[in-house]
Amino acid sequence: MRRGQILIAVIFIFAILSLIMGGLIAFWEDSLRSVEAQKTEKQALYLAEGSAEIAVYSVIWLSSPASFTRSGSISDTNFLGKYTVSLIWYSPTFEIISTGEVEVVYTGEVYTYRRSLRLQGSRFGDTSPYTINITLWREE
Amino acid sequence: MRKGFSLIEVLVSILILGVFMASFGVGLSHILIADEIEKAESRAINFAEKKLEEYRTAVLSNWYTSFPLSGNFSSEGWTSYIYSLSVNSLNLGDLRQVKVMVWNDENNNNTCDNFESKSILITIISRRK
Repeated sequence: MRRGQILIAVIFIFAILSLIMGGLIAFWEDSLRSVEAQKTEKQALYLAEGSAEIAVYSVIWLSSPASFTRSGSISDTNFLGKYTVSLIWYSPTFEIISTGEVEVVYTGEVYTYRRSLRLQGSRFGDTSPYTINITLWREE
Repeated sequence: MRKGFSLIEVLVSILILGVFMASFGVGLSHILIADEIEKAESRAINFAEKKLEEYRTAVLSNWYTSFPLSGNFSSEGWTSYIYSLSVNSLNLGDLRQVKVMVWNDENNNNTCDNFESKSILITIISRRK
């Protein structure tokens, strides 16, 4: 056996093992990131639903609701969310478009997840609280 | 020359093996800890969602109903997971901002400590009737 041959073989084997292990770790980390994404998207969806409720409130309780667009932010420990909601009032039908956005810091990088909802419906009744009939509730 | 490995070759091989195993071990332990945290947070967000929907169902049928603002998930078999629900009234009380925080109370002190896995859901609920 020539001098150094075993060393070259060992280095070669470790290089291959390192590549395999590196790939496995990258794959594992990717799957962790996707769990984090699912979690944050759920938070964004609840924020979008919540902001849609602001518009739903106007339709149920105000005798003459006006179209509006409102934005806001909600910050808490480990939570930073923003929302935007638009009510388009056609009397007695309406459309609501809402967006929830949540920022998360993962392995030092900031990721933003966004979910949007579109609702359509109509309003019935003579006085508040009015009855609403939602005909479309769609995630966009 | 005699067959076999020289001392230098063996030492260098051991060194390479050591560096590789150490870095791999450190990486693996980080991943395993992160995996455990993610699992706990994922479980916590599912519990938070469940509790938030229970709250929504309760207040939409009766806006002024009383609802326990904290508790655990013993009915699901997870006594270490604790929830805390906080409600802020908006618009003269006809809109409520609801926050549900669920955490894995590892040290059983009923407080969410920094090192414990937690998940938060925040939404707004409007009074219907």
